[in-house]
Amino acid sequence: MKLLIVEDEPELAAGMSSYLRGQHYVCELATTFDQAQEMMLLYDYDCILLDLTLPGGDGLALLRELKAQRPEAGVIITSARNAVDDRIAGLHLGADDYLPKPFHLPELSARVAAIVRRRRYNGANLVSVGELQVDVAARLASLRGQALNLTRTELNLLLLLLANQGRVISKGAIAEHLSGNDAEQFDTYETVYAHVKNLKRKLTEAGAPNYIRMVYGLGYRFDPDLE
Amino acid sequence: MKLLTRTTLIFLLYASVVAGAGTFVYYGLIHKLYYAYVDRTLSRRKLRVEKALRLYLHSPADLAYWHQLDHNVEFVPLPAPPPRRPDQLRERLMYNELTGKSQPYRQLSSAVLFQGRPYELQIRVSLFDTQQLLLRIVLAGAGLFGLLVLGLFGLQFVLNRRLWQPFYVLLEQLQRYKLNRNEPITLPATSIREFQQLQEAVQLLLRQNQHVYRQQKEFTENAAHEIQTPLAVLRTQLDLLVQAPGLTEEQAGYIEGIMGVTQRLTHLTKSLLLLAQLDNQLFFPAETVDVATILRTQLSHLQHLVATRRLTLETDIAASVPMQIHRGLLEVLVSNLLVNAIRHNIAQGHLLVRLTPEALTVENTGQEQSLQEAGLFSRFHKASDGSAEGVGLGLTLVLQICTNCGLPLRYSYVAPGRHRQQVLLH
Repeated sequence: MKLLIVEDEPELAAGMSSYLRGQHYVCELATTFDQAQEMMLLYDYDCILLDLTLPGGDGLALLRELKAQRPEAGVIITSARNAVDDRIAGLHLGADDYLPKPFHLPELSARVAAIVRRRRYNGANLVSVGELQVDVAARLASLRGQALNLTRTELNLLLLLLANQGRVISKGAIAEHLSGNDAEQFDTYETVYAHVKNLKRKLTEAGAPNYIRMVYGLGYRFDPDLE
Repeated sequence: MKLLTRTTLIFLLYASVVAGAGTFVYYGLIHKLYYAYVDRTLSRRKLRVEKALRLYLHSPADLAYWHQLDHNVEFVPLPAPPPRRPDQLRERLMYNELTGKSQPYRQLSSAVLFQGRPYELQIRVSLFDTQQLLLRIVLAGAGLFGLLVLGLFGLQFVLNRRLWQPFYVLLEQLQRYKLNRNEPITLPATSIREFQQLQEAVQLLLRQNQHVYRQQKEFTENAAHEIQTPLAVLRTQLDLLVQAPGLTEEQAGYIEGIMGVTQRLTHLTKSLLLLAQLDNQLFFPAETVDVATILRTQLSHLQHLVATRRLTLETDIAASVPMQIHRGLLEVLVSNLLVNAIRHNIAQGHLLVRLTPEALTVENTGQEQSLQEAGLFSRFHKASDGSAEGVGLGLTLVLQICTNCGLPLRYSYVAPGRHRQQVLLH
């Protein structure tokens, strides 16, 4: 799966592509308006991560042009411009998602996964790891064909973990993913501990391997290769 | 009350005082002039009578005969010669046979000697009915005053329509004026110098405000970009750092610390930027949002916190409360109210959330003192109950959002240790 990262901040672009490569995406990089324009229109990408403030022009103009030529392209706007008008303008122009900076890489990865699923599998989509399966459209998780009784939050958490397999996801990233960006955050992570604990319990009770590991109190990692 | 109405009223008040007092002064003046005239007439007639006494009258019968012809001259015999004294003028009532009523007269009494005998000479003049005079003067005054009032009202109407029209046009435009929409203020051409000056002053003020507003908006946006981008780099690098193989527990501890402050910094930046946008009255487009749905979603996000702190949660939420508002703002508003009520609660405390079509009420147990004077809604206000979380912007955001969306926000201390925040939804 091929991604295009349009981002002029070199460290950020490097970080994003390094992380997403670890999730087995092929990442290409564009750092200016003209470069992005050329690549966008020449090649087909599963998802384009688009920064709005670019040297050489406004990302919204790129989006307008892209949507005129390839209406089916998946686009996530990643911008530091958090102004409400920009967000609305972006979504109106046909962007699939809007992720304001600063974001967590696991969150970005989960959103990319959602877009790719939507584009590739036309919405119907099973994510599976070993005997664990998640039907994203029906919002159902099952183990060996047997449904797991997960709450909405636990399912969201599971999808975040699945989109970032083998990677450490910090508690902060989990907290933001679960409570939405606008919710005021607590410095304590009681909510995160509780949700992870419940999800782990439900998985192991159904007979799944202990996929979810705590990493030094920093966060959690979903290890698919564990048996 | 309109300025012009008030001016007219003051004019009318003054006019009625002048008209009221004037009536009495007028009456008094006429009264005095009239009496002076009557008294002079009486004195002259007395001179004529005295001349007649000397030249033409010969016997007491002539005196009685004179009285029969002229009722206004009478000779009353006196028993003894009177002491010498000045003539007396006084008023008296006398019966008038023709009208059948008693009428006031002015009478001059003077002692005279006729053929060696003393008499009192009385000369009278019938007076006007002075009460009737007064009545007529008052009526005339009232008529004039009425004319004055009518004229003033008529003038006010005309002035209102013509002279003050530019002022009302300007006022109406200013009331509708919004900084974020760049509409010019125009006035119909007027020759009144004050209005011209007012228009110039207003336009200058608005131009300056627009300038400041645009600069603020640009600054906010630039600041957002310039602060968020380094934060974004910091975050991604940290996310990558924790993936590093062979990380020791000690190193993980350091990273966790940095992640914590990055999180706080991110949250602070977001809150401040939102506050700046609200302060600048940036335009937030409204859509129809169901407050009940948002409230339930936010409550479910916070469910575990409520459980961890062993709070009793009591909810009473209407099925659906649709409302015109910006979704994001409403989410921040609801979430901050709830988080605040949980954060500053006591262990095993109580939390009541009630939503009716009229109001959203959040009631919580907490420290035992009213927060009314504690700067509850001011920036970076830290609660005294020692909870170190948060940056103290939560309730400030709540207040700003309420102000921005025109929703009244009330805080009340309902019972010892019970705090109630209420947002009226209309």
